[in-house]
Amino acid sequence: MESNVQRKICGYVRIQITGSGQERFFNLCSYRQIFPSNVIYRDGTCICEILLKDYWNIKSLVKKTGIKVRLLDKCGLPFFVYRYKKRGALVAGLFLAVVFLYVMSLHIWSIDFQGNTYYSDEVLMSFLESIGIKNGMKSSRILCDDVESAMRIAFDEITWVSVEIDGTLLRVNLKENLNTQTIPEKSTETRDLVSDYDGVVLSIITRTGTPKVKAGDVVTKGQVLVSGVIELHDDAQMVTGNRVVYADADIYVQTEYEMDMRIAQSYEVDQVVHENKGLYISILGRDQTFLLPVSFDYPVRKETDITQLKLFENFYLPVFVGSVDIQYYDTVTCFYEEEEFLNHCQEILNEELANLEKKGVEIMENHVIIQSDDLCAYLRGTLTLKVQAGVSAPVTMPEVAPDQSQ
Amino acid sequence: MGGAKQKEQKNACLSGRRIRLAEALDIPKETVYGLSCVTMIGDREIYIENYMSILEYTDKKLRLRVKGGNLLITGCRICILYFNDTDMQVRGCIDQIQFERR
Repeated sequence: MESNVQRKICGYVRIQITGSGQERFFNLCSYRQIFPSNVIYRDGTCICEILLKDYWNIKSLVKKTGIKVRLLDKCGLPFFVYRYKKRGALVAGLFLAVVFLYVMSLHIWSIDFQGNTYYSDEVLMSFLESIGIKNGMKSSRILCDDVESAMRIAFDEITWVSVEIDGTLLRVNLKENLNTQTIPEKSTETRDLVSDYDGVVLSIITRTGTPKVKAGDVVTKGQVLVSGVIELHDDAQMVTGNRVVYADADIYVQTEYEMDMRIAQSYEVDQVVHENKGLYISILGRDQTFLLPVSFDYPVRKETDITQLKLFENFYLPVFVGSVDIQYYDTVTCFYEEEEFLNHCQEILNEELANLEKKGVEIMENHVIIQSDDLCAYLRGTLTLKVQAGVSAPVTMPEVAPDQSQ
Repeated sequence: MGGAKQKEQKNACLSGRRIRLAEALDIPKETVYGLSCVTMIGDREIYIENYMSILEYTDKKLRLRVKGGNLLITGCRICILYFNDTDMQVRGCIDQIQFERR
């Protein structure tokens, strides 16, 4: 049985058959490989559909069976073209539309990346462009296997990639190795651990190296906390030599943090003076924006919302349509009310303290106060913090006593 | 007469062998015997394979010639969706399917 589309393209007629030899007519049709469809019996007659090319071959069967055939309807493309032959432009337009769609379907008009979190769409897109894959190219020129292997080689974090062409859409599915944590290699370098704060040592737990301070000691910035030099002693507790290591320890120091911050009572707000909306169209890379003719001497903020047109789910077209929203704005200076300003200062202070805590700092004492005058406020005072101290620095070798060297 | 009887016996023997072979190989019986196969979808559609010819057709009755007899389909608003030399699809409100032995 021909599909409906095939029948419409080839053209078919609906006929009415009257007479006593209808069954014989159908059997003879079947014998001659003519297959009527949608046969309906109505008031002693049969109505059926028959392909146009078969219609010309049933004359002998009609004569043989003694039935009468009446043409009821003509359907399909040949009759449509014949009916509209005087409206050539319409038929030509339809034909051109079909040709246009066919030509469009041979190209890639959209590239979609799925499963990427580490590599952005822009990075992957620029890579594809560098290997010659871009929007508008013929889909037959894309060798999916080659693109897959090129991507695997170029991006270390991509563990699996699949490239497939679906209509006019090039779909790139990939999986990334998100577990990027690597075991740090044990350093063979020799380093001291020096203080990066001024303060008092609260606690010290040494893993490697020789501790130079103890809890309760006052330390200054740059002072060696743990030395990378370990003295080797013999049975008589005499120094026989040194071993140099990478000093490592957990040292917590109590330190003072001076806060001096100025907060202005005024703030700037962008007020929209005029809003202009327009239409954005881009066809085959050529874009055009249609806006109402308005001109202001204000700064402009432009927002464009673009959508790519598609005929079916994966049949994208090289046509982008969108709305353009242009806002002309003026920057106005406003002032906080007194109570509102105090709340604002308190919020900033809380934010600063939260930021310090996020860095792993423990706030032991808070002596920051808010002082305000007519135009601004100041966050002034001291914070007592418990911080983890110690940064690596080159090893300082101990000075050798002259008598020992001899 | 004797020759015809022998031929009949030979055919029956061949048919028996063919049946045993088909059963051993698990081949569908309608393929081996050339019998018609009727598939019915509710009371709305019937798909008939291996029919021979249309004997009678009205909107209430469709009689088809099949191997070993006739297949009579009765109901109302019966229409033939399509047919070719072996298969046929019938739609309508089907009441009864009857096999008339010859």
